Amino acid sequence: MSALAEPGPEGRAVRPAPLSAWLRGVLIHGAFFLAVIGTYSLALVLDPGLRRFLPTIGELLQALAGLAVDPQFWSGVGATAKAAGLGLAISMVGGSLVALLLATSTRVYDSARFLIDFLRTIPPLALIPVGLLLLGPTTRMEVTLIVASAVWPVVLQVYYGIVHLDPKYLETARSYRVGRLLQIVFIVAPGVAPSFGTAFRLAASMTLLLAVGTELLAGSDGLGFLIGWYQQARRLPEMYATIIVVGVLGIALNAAIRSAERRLFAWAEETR
Amino acid sequence: MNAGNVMRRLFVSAWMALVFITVIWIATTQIRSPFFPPLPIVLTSFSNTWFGAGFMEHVVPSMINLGAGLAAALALGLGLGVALASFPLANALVNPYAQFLRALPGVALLPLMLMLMGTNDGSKITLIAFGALWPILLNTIDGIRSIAPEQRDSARAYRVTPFNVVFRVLLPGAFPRITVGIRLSISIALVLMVGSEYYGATHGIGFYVLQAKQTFKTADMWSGVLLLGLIGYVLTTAYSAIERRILRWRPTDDR
Repeated sequence: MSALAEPGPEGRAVRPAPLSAWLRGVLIHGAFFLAVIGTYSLALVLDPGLRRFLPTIGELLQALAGLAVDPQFWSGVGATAKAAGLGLAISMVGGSLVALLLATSTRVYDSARFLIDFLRTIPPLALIPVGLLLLGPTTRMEVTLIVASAVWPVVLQVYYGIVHLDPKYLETARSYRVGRLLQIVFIVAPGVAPSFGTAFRLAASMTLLLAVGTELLAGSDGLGFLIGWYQQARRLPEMYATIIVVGVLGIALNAAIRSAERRLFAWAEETR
Repeated sequence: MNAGNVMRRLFVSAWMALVFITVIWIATTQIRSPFFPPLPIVLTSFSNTWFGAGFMEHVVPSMINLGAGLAAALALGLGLGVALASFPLANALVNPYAQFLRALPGVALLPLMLMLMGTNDGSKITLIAFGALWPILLNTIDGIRSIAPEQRDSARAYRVTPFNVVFRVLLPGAFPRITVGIRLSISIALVLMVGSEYYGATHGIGFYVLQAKQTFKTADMWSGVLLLGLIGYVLTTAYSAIERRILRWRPTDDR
């Protein structure tokens, strides 16, 4: 029953785990990983019919190695990275500007809220036919669709960050007659930074989804396009390998942003 | 609050949307672009299609897929979540894989689903359920693990039955986190619903929109996009209202 007395997530990370515990973790996870792979391979051996849909581990590794030296794959990675990076950058800058505008007065926010709530709840991808019709299967279309969806979490997060600034700091600065610019640089910017980090993380995962989705569904160049193309060409190991690459990209992006948030904003009371 | 105040607040929250609609109305009737048909024509198409045959043909299948996928994700997510949270070792082992699958954009699996299960509704529902599962599952586990150990210990000391532990201690305690997971899952499910209807489909709102685009019926296309926007808005708003109601017992400051 010791399982029930397990401390919650807050209980962890009080002191760094000793090396032996770390090693044990690696061993246990490694063993489990091997067991998963073993079960998978065994299933393929026992029921060869499955091999019509599922590649063997060997085929998968071969496909991954093949992709690593395939210029077509790398140009797909480049196209996705370009569209996603551009879309993310525009969303961050544009969203922050909109948030600043909204935060100028509660009147502005109350007025714009309905419109923003409507626009941000349009399901991403719903606009693909519109984008295709207006811009064709181009990077420009992809970036536009990314921004149309990824800008909203930025707007909301940054807005809440600004609104929830403790007014005491600004009042103190004012009573010491600190200039407007210095207030923004030393009080507003650091105060909003953690929300900006959260916005970046949310927008980044939205961006990856939109980039891959648009490429697959609208046929603009990139990893999503390759997934659909490999399926149609019946190159299944390559299709699975590309899906794995996309998933690894997603989790690596998320982990990198989270760890950056933890490092940069450790001083903020909670990392959201 | 008196009537004047209500009117004023209504005006403040509505004027910008009204201006936006008016601008679009005037602009689309003036420019006469084939891409942006006049708003009245879009609205006519909207009422003809969605209050007519299109409702049974496209809206109902879409909503059934969405509902079935979400229901499956909820049942699986809560069940697996309780199970995994009770076995820390199993949870630790499975967690990396669950994190990977959550980070994987569900649309990337569309060709795979098409190949494995074909273009029927079962394949769409499976994909929606698959995508919507992870936020619910991971938030359920986190929620249960963040319940104070004293609460479980006292439940154990009073010999509360396992059934009651799950339904009166663990799930209610984890509920604030679970609602966050459900909210994320709803938006993921919407994305996958639309996406699956763009990829080898024969009905559904997304299919209708794409079809209208391919045959250059732009008014029909915009009416479909409008409907998708409305569905997204209504679902999100309704869920927020339900969430607020369910979580009324919580102190408001940490929401």
